[in-house]
Amino acid sequence: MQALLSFDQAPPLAAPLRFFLTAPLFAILAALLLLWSGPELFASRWTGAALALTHLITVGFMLQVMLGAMLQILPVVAGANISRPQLLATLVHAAVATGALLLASGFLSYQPLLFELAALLIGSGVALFIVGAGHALYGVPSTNATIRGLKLSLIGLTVTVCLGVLLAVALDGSLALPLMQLTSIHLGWGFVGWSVVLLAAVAFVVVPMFQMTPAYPEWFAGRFSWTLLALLFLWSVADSAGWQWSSPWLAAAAVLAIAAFAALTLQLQSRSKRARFDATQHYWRVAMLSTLAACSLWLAASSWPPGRAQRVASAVRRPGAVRRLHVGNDRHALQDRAFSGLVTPAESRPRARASSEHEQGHRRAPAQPADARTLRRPGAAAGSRALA
Amino acid sequence: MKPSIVLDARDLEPPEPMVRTMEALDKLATSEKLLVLLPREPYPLYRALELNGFTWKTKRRADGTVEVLIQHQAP
Repeated sequence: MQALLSFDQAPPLAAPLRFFLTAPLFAILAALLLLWSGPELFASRWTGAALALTHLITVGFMLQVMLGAMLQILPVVAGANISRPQLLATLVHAAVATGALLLASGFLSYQPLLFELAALLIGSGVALFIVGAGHALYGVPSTNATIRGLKLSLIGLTVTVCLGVLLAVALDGSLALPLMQLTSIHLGWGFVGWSVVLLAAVAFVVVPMFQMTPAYPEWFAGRFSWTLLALLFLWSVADSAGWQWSSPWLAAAAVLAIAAFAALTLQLQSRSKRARFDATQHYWRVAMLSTLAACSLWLAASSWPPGRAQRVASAVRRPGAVRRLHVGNDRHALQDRAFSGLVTPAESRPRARASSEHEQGHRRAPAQPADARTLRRPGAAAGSRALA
Repeated sequence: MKPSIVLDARDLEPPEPMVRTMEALDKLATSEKLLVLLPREPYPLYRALELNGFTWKTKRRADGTVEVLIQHQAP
């Protein structure tokens, strides 16, 4: 009885579609950047190219897909109707897509103006989305784990973007902030507070619905998002305050909670009533196995003794491969050099020269100042630029 | 009041619950009531009911089942 069905409250297709159409372009740009940069990109997580790549994927691809999908899912699973979805989508999409391009260009060119414009565009675009989605969700009772998770994920997104904007405007060294520590907290909130909380909220409804599995147990689904955000908050406080005894344990607890979610999803999938898995079930399974692998790698890297890690790094360093694995005791010295590269492009171009500087820098790494917590002042940056 | 028709759609794959509810509503007499049992709250259904002259009451059971009791709007 088709006549009875109504889609008048669903957002027009053009609203989410624009996000889904441009998101793959950013994934292609990320791939092109990888080809253009070569192995140098992986010298450390702090090279400009690595940071540009990260943001092309996270802001350009992931954030766009997530915002578009959220526009669609809010009315269906929460009964939360966004007012004027077409207008909201147009403004948010234009701001976030342009902002992602400017941010990647900023990381590749080290122009403070690009960072500032990117911060303005991504910050205002996401703020607009949060106001729109928050307004739609306001007054919707949190009757299930999905609605609660959707609301909490918006908190995760807010914190992520606020820290991102702060980092973007502080990168020129004008604000004396512990940039690397803030970057880790920014990454934690983006990955865990926004992405995992949103993904789990969606999983609680779509895995049982479309994969014909039993529901997630209430004791798990009801507590997961809150627990994860609470651990993330406590870890952020502990990390900022320098409580070295508690911060790794809180981070490990969050990682274990995420691993538990992945394991539970796989276990539910194994009880699916479907005789054969369809394409989405295979994607979910690969994604959950990847999540478990990521959590295991994180736990292994965190508990690895630094001395041993260094020996392994020396053993795998060979010509032709990605030449340097910077782990363990070298890390702070490396971060100091790489982050100073954000204000002094000398290290990354031209490539041949950058390579030799890296080698020299690596050999003398233990003698580098270990204070990687504060970005160099503008004066120091200008000095380095002059040398370059 | 007891429902005239009960539709247990808890173990059905989408879009079967929606399709079967629509079919049942098609045949629902003005004096009858339809009780639909679902594993979650059917937000898209509510708008369809509203536009087509039905009223409904939703209840949640302790096991997570959502009961939607539907009847024609009083004239």
